[in-house]
Amino acid sequence: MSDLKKLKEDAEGLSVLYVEDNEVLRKKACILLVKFFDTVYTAKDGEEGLENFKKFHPEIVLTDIQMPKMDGLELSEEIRKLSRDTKIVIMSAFDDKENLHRGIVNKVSGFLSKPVNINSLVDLLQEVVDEIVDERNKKLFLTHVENIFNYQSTMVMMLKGTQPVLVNQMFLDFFGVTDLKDFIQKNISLGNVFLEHDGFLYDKPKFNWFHELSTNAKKLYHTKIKNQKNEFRHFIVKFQNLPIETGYSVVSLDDITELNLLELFDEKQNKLDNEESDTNAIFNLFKVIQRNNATLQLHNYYKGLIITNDGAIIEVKKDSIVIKTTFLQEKAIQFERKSILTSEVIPHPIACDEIVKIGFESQSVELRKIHFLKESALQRKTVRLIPEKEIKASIFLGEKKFQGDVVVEDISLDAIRLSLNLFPAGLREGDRVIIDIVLRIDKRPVPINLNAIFFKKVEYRDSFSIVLLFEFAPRQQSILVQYITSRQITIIKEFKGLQNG
Amino acid sequence: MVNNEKILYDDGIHKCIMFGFDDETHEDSFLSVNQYLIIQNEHAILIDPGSVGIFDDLYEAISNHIAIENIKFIFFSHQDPDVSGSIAHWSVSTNAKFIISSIWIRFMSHYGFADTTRIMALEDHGAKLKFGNDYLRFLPAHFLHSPGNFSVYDSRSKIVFSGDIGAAIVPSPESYKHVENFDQHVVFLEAFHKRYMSSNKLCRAWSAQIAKLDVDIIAPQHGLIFEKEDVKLFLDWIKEFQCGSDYMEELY
Repeated sequence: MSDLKKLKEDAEGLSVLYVEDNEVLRKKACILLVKFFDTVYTAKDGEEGLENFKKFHPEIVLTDIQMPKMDGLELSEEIRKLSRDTKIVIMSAFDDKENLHRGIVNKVSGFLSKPVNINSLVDLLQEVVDEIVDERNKKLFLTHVENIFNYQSTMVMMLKGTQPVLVNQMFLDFFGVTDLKDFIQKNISLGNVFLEHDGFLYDKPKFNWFHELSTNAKKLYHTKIKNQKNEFRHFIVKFQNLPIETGYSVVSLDDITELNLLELFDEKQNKLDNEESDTNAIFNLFKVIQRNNATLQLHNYYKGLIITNDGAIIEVKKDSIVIKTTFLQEKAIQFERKSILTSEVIPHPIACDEIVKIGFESQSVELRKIHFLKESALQRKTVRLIPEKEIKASIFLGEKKFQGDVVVEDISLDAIRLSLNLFPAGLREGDRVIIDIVLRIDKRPVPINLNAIFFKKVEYRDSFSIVLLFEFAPRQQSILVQYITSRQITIIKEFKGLQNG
Repeated sequence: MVNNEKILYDDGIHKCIMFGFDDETHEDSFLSVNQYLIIQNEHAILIDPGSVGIFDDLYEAISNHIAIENIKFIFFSHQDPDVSGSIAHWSVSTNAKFIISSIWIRFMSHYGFADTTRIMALEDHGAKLKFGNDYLRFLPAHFLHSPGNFSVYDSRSKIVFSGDIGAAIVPSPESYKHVENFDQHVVFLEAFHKRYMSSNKLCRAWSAQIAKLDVDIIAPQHGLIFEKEDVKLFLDWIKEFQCGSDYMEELY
């Protein structure tokens, strides 16, 4: 009897496409398949099957042979043209040599004769899933090995538990030691060679470098080490568990001294002025992130609501970057026409001010006009939202109502930003004003009358943007908390709606 | 409880306060709700702040102890509305980071909160957080009752904030909300735990984990707290308690 539990465990994260023209059989199979696979797609003929394959890229395709529009063998041929790795299983009432031959040519993973016996289906699925898992592990390992040896500046240490068991030649040369034993005799632990530097990885009281690295596998860290000639070198450190053997791990140290990035991390040298060298530094850091298969974070705003998701760098071009990210983030980027990037290895947020291309199908986005941000919305301490158009505000200077047009640009618990067509005569920074706002909570108008201080103004060609800081009387803040919270809920709903459009 | 609050621990530097604000709409259900605040010097962590209905009162009560901007962390043991329903309100009125099981993050948008940069997601095995000179441990309490559920251990006050574990359906007492007679209290514990907790196997695992710690108080999110010898009595009781799937035949 097949081990159903094992199949379900092994198939975690895999999806399957079931192509069959008989509706009853399709429904029956679907009920069975969802027991093992997280996602099951179906199609009623080869044509729809191919369409769904292109759309969803399932790892496994189960197909009938005889179907209208496009038969199962044609479908296999088409899929094979698109993907060499997809596992195809053919189900057929036929047992002829020609079909078998065409199947073999298309590297079909298995045949099932119809009517399909559940046990044989489960057994075959287990075989196919095993193959996928095996291939993935091998690929992961080979990529890892390839990554390590492709970059000659990488030093590597392999560990079993916490004990170093192997280092590469680059490592030995760097420290001028004959072997690992020699290194341990001289330094005891790798942590002892990491030097103190702001924001870098090094041992501190109650902070153990290895604990930090091993509990944050794949996260990138900076560190500074002296080589045998007593020169400071700058490294990116990464910890990875080996996929093939539990308990084994690898620490890799990627020498990036030549990128001259150390000064970017020195807070005393507030260096965000030299645009050209900064842009070079950013692109170099992108390359470091890419070759270490690390992620970065993309941040966007929708009417003040922050949308953040991980992204992986696919390509670093001459003046742009291609990032794979989520559909949700792509929608937010499409709305804002720009994005902000952050990563643990990049000392400041990075602005990408222009979209080159958004590929919703490939889940990738290409961004350009890239530069460091001295100040970004990410540093905001309060939630600042763009209100609905209906919100009204009036300013009073002493007893006198300001007669110009007032539009609320955004509002937070601390302040309000207003756009004015005229600037009130005599208003100076630090002056006290009164502001009347008619908020809308649960679709009802809620008036609020607040004291505020004029904080700053920005002048545009035909308008002024001013910021007023609130001074609350008791209970007034609570009304504003209620308003901002309910506005936030509305914006979340609106943004979710945007995903469907 | 006088003034809806009680100091559970105070050594001059480190303080734990228990609040007891009930959502008025549920007052007749006798499921009294507790919120907790730990303060060390200028830093505070708020534990299970509850629903929107009590936000204003809790906000004001906390302000009497520490400036709201000093709340650095807000911990939600799980996703229920009486625990984390007010997340959006707290996100607007503090700069705090929110600590919750990673499996509930996506659901927080239903409470009007979507800023994932402010969330410290807890993976299943929990985490240890440095807090002032001491630490807080987030201990797995999954399926008791929520699938992504944590208790918190404060190493300095030796209090376990146990979320729904240890909760009891009792009228909110006028005075100090603590168990006075464990044997009499068991009947109130049973009613809640039998239906809300998922199995004895999980109760046993949680109890064994807590028994290894040096604990003076177990402070649940509903009902009364367990002190001194009642801590051991409670751990022994829950270790043997049959609940949830142990009564499958009654449920299906």
